[in-house]
Parts: sequence; C-alpha cells; structure tokens
Amino acid sequence: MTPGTPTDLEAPARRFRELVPAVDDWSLRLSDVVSETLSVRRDVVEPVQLARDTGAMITVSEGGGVGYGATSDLSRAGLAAALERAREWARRSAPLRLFPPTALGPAGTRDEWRAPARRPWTELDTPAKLQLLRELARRMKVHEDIVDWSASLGFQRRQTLLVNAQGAAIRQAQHILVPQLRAVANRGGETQVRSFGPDRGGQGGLERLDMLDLDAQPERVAGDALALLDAPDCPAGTMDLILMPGQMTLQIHESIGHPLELDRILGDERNYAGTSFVTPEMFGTYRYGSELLNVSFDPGVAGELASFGYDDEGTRAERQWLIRDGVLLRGLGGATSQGRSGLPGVACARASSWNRPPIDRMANLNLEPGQSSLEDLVRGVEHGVLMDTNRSWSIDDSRNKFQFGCELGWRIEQGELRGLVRNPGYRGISSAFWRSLAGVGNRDSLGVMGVGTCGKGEPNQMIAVGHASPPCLFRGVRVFGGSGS
Amino acid sequence: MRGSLEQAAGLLHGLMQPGEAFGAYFEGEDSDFARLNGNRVRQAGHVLQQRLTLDLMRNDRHARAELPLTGTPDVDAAELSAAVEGLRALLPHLPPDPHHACAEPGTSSEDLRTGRLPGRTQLLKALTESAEGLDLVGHCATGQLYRGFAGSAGQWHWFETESFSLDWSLYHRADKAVKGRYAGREWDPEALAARIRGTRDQLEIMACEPVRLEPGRYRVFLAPAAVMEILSVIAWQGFGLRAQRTRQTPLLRLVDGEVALHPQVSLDEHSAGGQAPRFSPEGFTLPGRVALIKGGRHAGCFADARSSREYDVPVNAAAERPRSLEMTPGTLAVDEAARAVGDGLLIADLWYGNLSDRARCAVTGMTRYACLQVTEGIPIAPVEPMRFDVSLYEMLGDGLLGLTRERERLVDTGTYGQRSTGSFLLPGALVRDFPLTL
Repeated sequence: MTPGTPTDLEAPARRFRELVPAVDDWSLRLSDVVSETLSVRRDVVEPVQLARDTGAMITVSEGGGVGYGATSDLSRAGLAAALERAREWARRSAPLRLFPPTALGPAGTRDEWRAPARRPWTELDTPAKLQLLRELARRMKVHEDIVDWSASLGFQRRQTLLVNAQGAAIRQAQHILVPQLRAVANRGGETQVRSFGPDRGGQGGLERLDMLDLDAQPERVAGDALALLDAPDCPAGTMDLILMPGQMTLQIHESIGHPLELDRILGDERNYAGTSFVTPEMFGTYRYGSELLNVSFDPGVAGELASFGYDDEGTRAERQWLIRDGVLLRGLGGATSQGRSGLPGVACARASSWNRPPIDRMANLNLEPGQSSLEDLVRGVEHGVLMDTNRSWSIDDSRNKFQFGCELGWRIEQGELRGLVRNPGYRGISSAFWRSLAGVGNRDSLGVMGVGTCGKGEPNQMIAVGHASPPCLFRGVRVFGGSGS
Repeated sequence: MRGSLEQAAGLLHGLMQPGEAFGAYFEGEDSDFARLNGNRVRQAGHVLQQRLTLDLMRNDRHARAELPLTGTPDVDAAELSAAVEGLRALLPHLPPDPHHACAEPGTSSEDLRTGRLPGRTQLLKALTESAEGLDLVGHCATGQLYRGFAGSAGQWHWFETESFSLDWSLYHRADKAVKGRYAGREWDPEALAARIRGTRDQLEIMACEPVRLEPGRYRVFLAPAAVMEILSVIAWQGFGLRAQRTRQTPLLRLVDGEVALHPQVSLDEHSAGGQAPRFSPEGFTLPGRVALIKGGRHAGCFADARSSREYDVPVNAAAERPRSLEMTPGTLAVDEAARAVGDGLLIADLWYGNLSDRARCAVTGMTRYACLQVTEGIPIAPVEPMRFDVSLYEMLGDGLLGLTRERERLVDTGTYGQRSTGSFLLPGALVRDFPLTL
C-alpha cells in the first residue's frame, strides 16, 4: 500500500449497479483516501504513517422515506448488506420524515474533475522528505529556551465516484498537502507557541512547498516564539485592529461562514453546532458589513483547500457572491436545503467521508481584495494592534458573540508598528463587527489559507474548508491581553 | 467482528519474516444513527466499519499503516499483504525509533459488555412519541463498538460493548431551549419518558421573558455538564506528560506547585469505572485508576506509549487525555443548589470552550440552554447567552464554595469518525465571582 496506488472505484460501482433493485431512487458515493504523514519532533523521526480509508455510502429513497447504509466492505455481499440497511431505514423513517424525498442527485451528468498537481508527492521519496523535515526541525532549535519543536508534512490523495439511478457518474480527484512547523519557547512560567502551517494546507503537489517558501520559515517561527517570551502583554481597551490573513481565516469562518449555512437557519444543527442570527428574510436586504465587505463562494480557486467540481449531492459548483458591497445576498446551502428553504444557495452539500451523509458546508469562502496595501492600513491607525495566526476561538451558538486569541500581535501608534505584544485577543458581536470594517488589503496582500478541522453535524463530521482574505482593518474593537480583562 | 481481528492476526503471523514484529490495533462499529429536527427524522442510516492500525517493527525501526478490513479473508489478505510490503520496503530507509514501545509478550484481556438495546426504530419511535407536540432536535445512536489488539508476541486484547445514546434539545423559541441526554447499555423506555418529561417541565421557565445581564462577576451553580465543558478544555493538554515536560500544559503553575486548587478538588482517571477499553493501541494494559489532582494539588499525569519511552516512565494511558474522568463529590445536595446560590445564576450547560490564557489556565466560552437567573433562591427567568472567561485556578480554587454530593455520569456522545467510548462522572459546583464578560 503506497500513496501511488488508489483503489479502483469502478469495480464496486459495477457490482452495485448489478444488485440494486427497483427502488424509487438511489445514489452511491464511493470514496478512497490514501494518505501519508511524516513528522519529526525534537529531532526524532516519528513513525511514518501510511493510511487508506475506502468505503461506500448508499442512499435509497423508498416508500416515502430516505435512508442510508455505509460500509467499508466493498464486496458484493458488503454492498448488498448496506443496501438493505438503507432500504430498511428509508421505509421505517418514512412516517416520521421531516420533508418529502427529493431527487438523489442530477440526471445524467457524466463528468470528471481533477485538481492540478504539478509536482507529484512521489517525486521525492520518503527518505528525502524526512531529510527535509529533519533539517527544517533542526533549524528551529536556535536557543535553549526552545523546549519543543516539530516539522511535519501531511499528504492526501482523495478520489470519489458518485453514481445514481438517473445515470450520473461524477469522478473527482484531489491532492492535498498540509505542512506544519511549530516551536514552543519557555522560560519559567511563561510559554509561547508559534506555528506555520496547518492553516496553509491546500490542493496540489510538492510545488506548494516552494510556493509557501517553507524553507524560509524555521528561524522566523522559532525567533517569534522566543521574542514573545520577552514581549509585553497586548494592551487592553477599545481601539483599531488589523487582522492578518492568518486570523481573518477564523474570523470569516466563524462569523460569516457558519451563520450563512442554510441547515443552521433551518434548525438542523440546533442540538449541536447551533443556530444562526441570520433569518430567511435577511437575504437580499440585510447589511452584513460595511460597503467594503465582499464575500464569495468560490470552489474554482486553483490550490485552495476546498476546491471541487461538484458537491456530494452532484450539483455542479460555481462561483457565487454571498455578500456584495456589504449586503447579504445568498446562503451556504446545497440543493436539498435550497429546496426546503426556498432560499438561494450554492453547491456545498459535502460529507467528511464515505461514512457520513452530506450536509451544508462552506467549501472555499473568500473575502475579496480591496484597494489598500498593508502599509496603507497601518498608516491609517492612530492607536491599535495588528494580530496574526489564530490560537483560540469561541463563539455563541447563533454565531454572534465571539472571542478570538492570536499567537502574536504588534502595537500600532501614529501609523507605525511599534513592537511585538503577546497573548493578543479581541471580542465582539458579528453584526456590529463587520460594519466596523474600514480597510481591506489589495490583491498583493491576499492570503489563500484554510481550516482543516471544521466540526459540525450529527453524527459528527470534520471537514476541510478554504478561506482567502487580505489583511483587514476594523475600527473600535475591544482588545485585550492575556488577563482577558 | 472479533473474527476479523483473529483472521488478520493469523494472516500477519504468516506474513512476518525473521526479525520482524507487528502490533495490530482494531477499531470497529456497527451503528445506527438518526438525526431529528422538529421531532421528525432529518437523516437516518447505518454505518458498518472495521479498521486496523498496523505497526511493523524490525531492527528498532518502525512504521505504521492504517487500512480498512472487511472480514472477508481474500479481500483482507490482499490488503494486509500490500500494507506489510509497503512498510517493509520503507523500514530500511528509516532511522531507529527510540520512542517506540510495544506491550510485553503474553498480555491479554477480554472485556465483553453486553446490553439490552432497543430495536432499530424502537428508540426513534419512543423518543418522538415522548416528545409529541414539542420542537425536539437531536440525535440517536445505537449499536456495537469493538476494539482489539493482537501482537506478534502473542499479546491479545478484546473489548466489545453494546450501547445507545440519545442527545436532544427541546426548543421553546429562537435560542431558548433545554438539553436532555439518555445513554447506557440497558434500554428502558420508561426512563427515557421520564427524562423527556423532565426537560419538558424545564421548558416552562424558558417561556419567561429573558433577562439581559451586564458583564460582571456572579455567584453561580454549574451543573455537571457545565463543569464537564470547562474540564474538557483543560483536559486537552492539561494532564499529559509530554505537555507537562514541554511546559505547554495550562496547568503549569499547579504542576510546579505555585498554586493549589480547593482541597475538595480531586480528579482521577478511573478506567475501571468508565466505558472505554482498558488497553492502549500498543497493547499495554492500563491501570484501573490514575490520580491527577488530589486534595487540590497535582498528583499525576498521563503517559502514553511514546512518552513512556521518551521520559522513561510506565505507560498508564492510551492517549494523553482523559477518557473516564471522575471528580470526587462534595456535600452540597443538588436539590439545595438554587437556595445555595441565593442571588445569582443556575448554569445547566456551557458551550464552545477554548483556552483564552494558557498561563492563567483560563477558559472562555458561552452559556447555552437553561441558564437561569436566581433571586432569593428561586429560579425566575432565562438569561440571554453570555460569554464567560474564567481561570480554573479561581473557579476551583478560592472561588469554589462547594461540590454536590450527587454526581452525574455524562457519556460522550461524540461521533467524529466513530462513536466515542469516553465518559465523565462529575458533581455540580457552587462558585462565587464567576466572570461574565460580554
């Protein structure tokens, strides 16, 4: 088993077509993920981990209900057993269904979508990749106060095949690379962590390492961690705030992405991930933010973490404006949620794996660039703080009251960066916060990043989503240092 | 599924070459899931999965593969053979792994926990009928969970349990709701109906006009579920040996002896009383109890297999996080909680906790569900969601006024990847000066 040998998904699809009986509707989603994780911690090579996760999700509409059966056994017997479970659940849940069955995917779509990867993962062999990581890790141990340091690479080769009763056959393939560097500095009771990586994951091959300039990062990461030990706490008070792309990622994710999910607005998530302060009548009129706020759903950005051609319900993915000039236009909901709510949505019904059904997800949710350089934004601040790289996040169940913490900050006085500060945090209320947006960085300052661990759904699902954003300036934000005061 | 691991172990024994050793950790589940909204089924189905984590060792070198199993001999043999070949080709290119640890030859255990589960749709029917006319949102899970380990030196562990869990919210309107849970191995429809009635009764007060609080410090009673949310955040890195030695634990000042919690506070990992298997993925048998905090002072920590080699201590955990955390009870009667609060808040649940300040061991998060204002010992109205930001050193230190003598077993209903086997056994806590910030 190596990352170079994907499972043949055509064979189980053929087996399934041979055995599926005449039911009202059906779909089969096959998924195969081959991954490799390489890591060096404190100069010790951790166990190389190769993994394969392969399985099938069968969905059946029968007798007025819909049920699913998921299995890691792709033999004829395994698929037949899962099919029977799906049929049983469809029939038994029919009297209790929330809404009538809808079509299980598109009619007749036959297509293939592949994410580009210029330098294959296998272009470098494992010893060479481990040597690269050993060198990166070694370069972070720059001082005795660096007490823990690690470098890792995670690679995934994902392929899916979606077929249904209407003759659709949609094949998709993605390569995902996630690098990470991490340095922990300690002196006495003070510990500071600086990282580069998990939010830099994206689609593609080894070319991403050059694109991210990984080789230039180790000394900077370790140097920042050491400098933070001696830095003062972030000042507290109401002041201007510049968020770099490494923090904008979480800000967009939590206070725009989640509130716009139609399944939250429809109430599906009220027992777990929560509801939303956004209500159906807001679409088309609600001023979500200042006129500088422009947010798109864009699954077509090459290299971004959650790019795809079709969602897991088989809907073709297209770029759409969600917020234009500050006004809310469209929600994040796939075909099923659009049908239930009557609201405009996007192709974003996605499942974390073969063993979970699709639910509304963000995919790539991007804040579009404005006109300002980063220097312009800093020059526009009389008294404030610049923050980068999320380390703590918390928001209420309707996605309104939030509090975030970052790995590091810089004090800004009279339009100039005046020194590093540690333990920076800020809190606010989504609806007011986005209206305080006073500056948006230009295309040169755009960071294309993402979140690999977005949790939602019952049963729970963890999925990767992409977020691109330039640095942004907000006026009059409640900022604090370590004490949380 | 036991046969899948036995068969895989047999195949692996046959695949080994001289000087090679293997460890194989098995995880499987046969589960039904149903998700509800508006007391109706949103999604329902079944998941059958079997997964093996295979460690191959030779000359102190070590690599790992994870692969799906089916239980079908031909299919699994091909998958295992390919995995072994892939790892075997890799090993000569790897340096020795100084931190690899594997269980001693001859260790073995059997832990079979049978139950009385409801039929596939019986559970769903019981829940929806009990909540007829109510806006119930929630999730049901039921079925079998399996864990196992087989090693080339004859090590063998098998864990098998039947269980169910129901986790629901009853909504009055908007974000005004109460939470209910029912989980176990012995299905009792009457017990479920009683719990639904209990949450239905709580809905009455949620219909009152909600109170908007000002940020400040409040005298509060934290129900066990609220205590769990805060401890869950601390537990993520707080009790691990690796986090302690690399100075990353938020409990650093407690570990260093600079601060102490209230003498009533004692925390143990009680594997023998929990619902998780008592062996690690490397085949180590775990102790029945590990003391973490005793009488308010640091007492111990978790060491998983890799930490045990790195820091030369015995293995006492599957991973460096609790799976069966228990807190010693106090003397406050839970029925007296509102009266003990006097003027303040009853907090049933907290939500979305995260560390806000590692050095202070501070956690921020939100109130959720039934957070009630209490006046002269009587709950009078729900409170609009408020943000808290509290240091554990304060909350369970000088700020702790008492713990309840009754404890609640809270089953982890998490299902990321697969159903969890974790649980907590916790009392409620009466706390003064609990800070609400926004």
